[in-house]
Amino acid sequence: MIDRFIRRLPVTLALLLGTSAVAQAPVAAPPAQTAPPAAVPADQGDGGLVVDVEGGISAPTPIAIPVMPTAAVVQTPAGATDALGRQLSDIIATDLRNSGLFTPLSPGQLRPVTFPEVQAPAYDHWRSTQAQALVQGYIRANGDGTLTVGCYLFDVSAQRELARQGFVVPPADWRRAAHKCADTVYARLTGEGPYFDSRVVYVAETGPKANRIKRLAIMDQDGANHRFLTNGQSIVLTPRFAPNQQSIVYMSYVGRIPSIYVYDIGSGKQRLVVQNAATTFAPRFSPDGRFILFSMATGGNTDLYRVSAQGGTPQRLTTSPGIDTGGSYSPDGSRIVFESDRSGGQQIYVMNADGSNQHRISFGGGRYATPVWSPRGDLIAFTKLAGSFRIGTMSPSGGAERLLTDDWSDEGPSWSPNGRAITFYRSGRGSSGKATLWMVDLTGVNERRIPTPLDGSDPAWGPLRP
Amino acid sequence: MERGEKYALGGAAAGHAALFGLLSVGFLATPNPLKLSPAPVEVSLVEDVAIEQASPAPATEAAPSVAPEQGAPEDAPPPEPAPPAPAPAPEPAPAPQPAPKPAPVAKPAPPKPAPKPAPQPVPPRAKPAPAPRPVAKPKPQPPRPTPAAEAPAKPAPSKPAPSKPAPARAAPAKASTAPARAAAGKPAPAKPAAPAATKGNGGSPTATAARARGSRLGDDFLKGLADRPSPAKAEAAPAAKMGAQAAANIGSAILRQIQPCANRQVTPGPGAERIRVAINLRLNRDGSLAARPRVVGHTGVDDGNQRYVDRVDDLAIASFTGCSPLRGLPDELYDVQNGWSNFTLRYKLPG
Amino acid sequence: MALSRTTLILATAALAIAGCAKKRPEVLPPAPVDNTGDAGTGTGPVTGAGEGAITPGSNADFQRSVTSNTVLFGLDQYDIDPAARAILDNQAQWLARYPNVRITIEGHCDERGTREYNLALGDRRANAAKNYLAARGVAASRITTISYGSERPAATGSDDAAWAQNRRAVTVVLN
Repeated sequence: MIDRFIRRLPVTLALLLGTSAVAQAPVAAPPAQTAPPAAVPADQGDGGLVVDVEGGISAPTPIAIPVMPTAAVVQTPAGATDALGRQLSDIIATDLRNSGLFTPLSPGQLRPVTFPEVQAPAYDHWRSTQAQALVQGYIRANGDGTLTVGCYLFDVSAQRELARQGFVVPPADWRRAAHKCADTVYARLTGEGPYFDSRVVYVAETGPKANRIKRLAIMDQDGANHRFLTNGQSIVLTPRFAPNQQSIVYMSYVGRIPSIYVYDIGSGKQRLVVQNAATTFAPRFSPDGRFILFSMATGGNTDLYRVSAQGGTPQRLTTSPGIDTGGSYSPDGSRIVFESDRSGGQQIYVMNADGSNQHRISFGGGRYATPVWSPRGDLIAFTKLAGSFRIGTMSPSGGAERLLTDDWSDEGPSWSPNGRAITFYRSGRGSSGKATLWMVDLTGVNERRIPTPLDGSDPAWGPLRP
Repeated sequence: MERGEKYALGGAAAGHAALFGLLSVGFLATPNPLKLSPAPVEVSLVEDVAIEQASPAPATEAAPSVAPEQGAPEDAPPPEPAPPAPAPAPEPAPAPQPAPKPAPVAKPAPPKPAPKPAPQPVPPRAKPAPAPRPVAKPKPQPPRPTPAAEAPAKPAPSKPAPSKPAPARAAPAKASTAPARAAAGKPAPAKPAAPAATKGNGGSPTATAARARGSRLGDDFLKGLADRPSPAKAEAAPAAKMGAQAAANIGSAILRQIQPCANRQVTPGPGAERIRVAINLRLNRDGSLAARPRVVGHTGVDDGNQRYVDRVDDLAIASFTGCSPLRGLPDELYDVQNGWSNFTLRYKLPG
Repeated sequence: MALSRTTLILATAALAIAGCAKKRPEVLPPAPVDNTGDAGTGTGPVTGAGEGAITPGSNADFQRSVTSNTVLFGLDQYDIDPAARAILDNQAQWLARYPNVRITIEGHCDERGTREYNLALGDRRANAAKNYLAARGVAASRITTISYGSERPAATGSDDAAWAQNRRAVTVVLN
């Protein structure tokens, strides 16, 4: 038995052959075209030397905005023209600085500009500063009480004029001339649309957290010309501008039932939009101003409706058993983005303006709310709820999601008229829990607080003023 | 257990022990497989292939060359295997080459006179034929100036190291080449390699003569010699266009001066970095702008960054104007073709 | 070794009825009310029988009579859980005694939600309580609902305990 066993025991030798060395021939690397660039004289067949250069930074552009001179000092209802000239340049500098894309030179680096120099700048001086662009202008009081403001933009290194604009304004609107000039500079130097000459409507807050007093308020986007529109006796929420900027639609508890009202800025009167016994809220105008999109809660369910801006019978747009609210039109008025919890939690949906083709676009994990379509149509801003509340943007098809802020509770975004900046409100933790207005660039930079006399929430950025 | 089984078991155990011991000392082990050692292979990328004969230091006349010494022809040493030409402007060995393909460079032989061109008017017609062309006969003769010699685009190192025999050898080879286009290969004919047709044949590996010599001067050895010295001083072969290498140098010089200003330009917004703008610049000899920069084209513009196009144009122009006038550019490359009097700057933001 | 079968049966029986201890009722029966006036109106003057000036059938009366005027909800929930059911049952009993009393149910949310969604969720909670009361015999025409979203929190902290108190539906008797 055993010798059979021994005979059958195989003798095995294992050969391990393990080399798989691959000879790698070192190759002379071609010149890299990144940080140390190389001049590759390509295209010599074209008959000309070609030099490729790549360079640039993401940083604010240094810009010089000297005080605007005036030919003759005249007293106007808005003040003396020389004082106005100083304030004009201050407003322009503040606007450009607040956009996050410009760094105005400090006053110590500026020098006074004489009236004749306004159209013929001293390039040599400005070239010696850091400024890459120069804004000069003048103010003049016209005989009829209006003011004329001239605005010139120059390229310092190329030594040429880039843009010029003149504005004739009544004395009460003198700040708008500065905003228009800043818009001219901004649009020419960034390629973006203008947005400085616009207003923001929001809810001003005071009082204890359990019993806040909320008032509608309106102000210029830089905080000037602030005034209250309601007296705070009723809770008011979510005000939004009409496209013609003559009225504001919002929700108020003034009646027995929380309802949507349209407030006429000129007359100060308000009217009820939908006459029925159900709670209506979250209103928004359509881009052409003909319709008001809103949410109505009936029998414990909330859906989107649309009604003529003059009032009338609402037309129902969604019928799902989930909560559908927060609708916002695309800039061309053909589609609506809204939030719905029909799939279990709040998510973002897009549908046609007539309610058809409702489809979800948010799939990033977490919940999504308060969607707002950019006036440029290229992005949708939203609040993402995933532990904390953060402002973000995504494309209208749902991709390219990007979060812009990172605090405990940021919500309620609203776009600037050029689709470049977003305003929102930030709430603090705890028993005081104050809310403040903020804005951020769509690239996520330049997050800054918008100063308001009281606390504030529910900001809505109005359109560019004509 | 039976006795037989005991013996068998003991034998098997002993055999196993023996085997184990043998294997431990590697008796039956196979040898270790060969380690493949990576042998580096040098590769140099040849980027610039000049289709036309070009010279980095273009001049229409080349310096007159000096006739070689008179002497008995000897075997020239066989061609050394030399690596292909590295910088400057590597050129591929062209067709008309004698069988051994030595590189035109790296020959230790003392630099031979360049093939003498005849003083000729400018029009660069790429002609084949190095200097020795007229010397079709394998006579020891000084290298002749060739009529309309578009000499090889090589500077001194490309001068034919050797001799008349070599040119003589190359000449017949040359004669059969198609003319034109082979400019880059010009050094080849003037190869150090080929031994003299008549005398030395380069076949002896022990030949040590560094320079082949001619046995006598031919009747026409004065052919092509001008009656006065040519004013041209350029040692390099003449040409009327800037070579690829010179273009690279000019491009680098311009880029070095422009880059700091390009680095200061501010991007207008997301997506602008996809735009590349080409501007045409015309300069004066002192490096300043002769005319307003002109935008000649864009690439990479789409719906998302259309609004930034004008601004990127501004940035491209500012990249140049901020650092103009350019300084230190070679004057002799100013108004040649592809010179820096009129060139295109292509700018884009990083990202 | 062999257990007495009788003992076994007795033990088993004792075990079986051990769980039948009488529970204390969850809801105390309402205190006796002085029903001097008509049972329907519930607005008669108080006879000053030592209770203070609380009108029977008023909101103050309601609040001291029922277990609670508030039911709580889970995070993002609007369903009536057993604790809420008991409270609403108690409210329904009181409402049955004053069949002409009208009420409003307020729906509230905690602050961990966005503005519009909280308005809708508060409405859901208010309606859930209303539907339950209607099923308990309170006429739906007596009940109105209103949502306050997160505008009127009961507790102002920013922790789970405060938020749990804020997710509520409050029944308010309309005087």
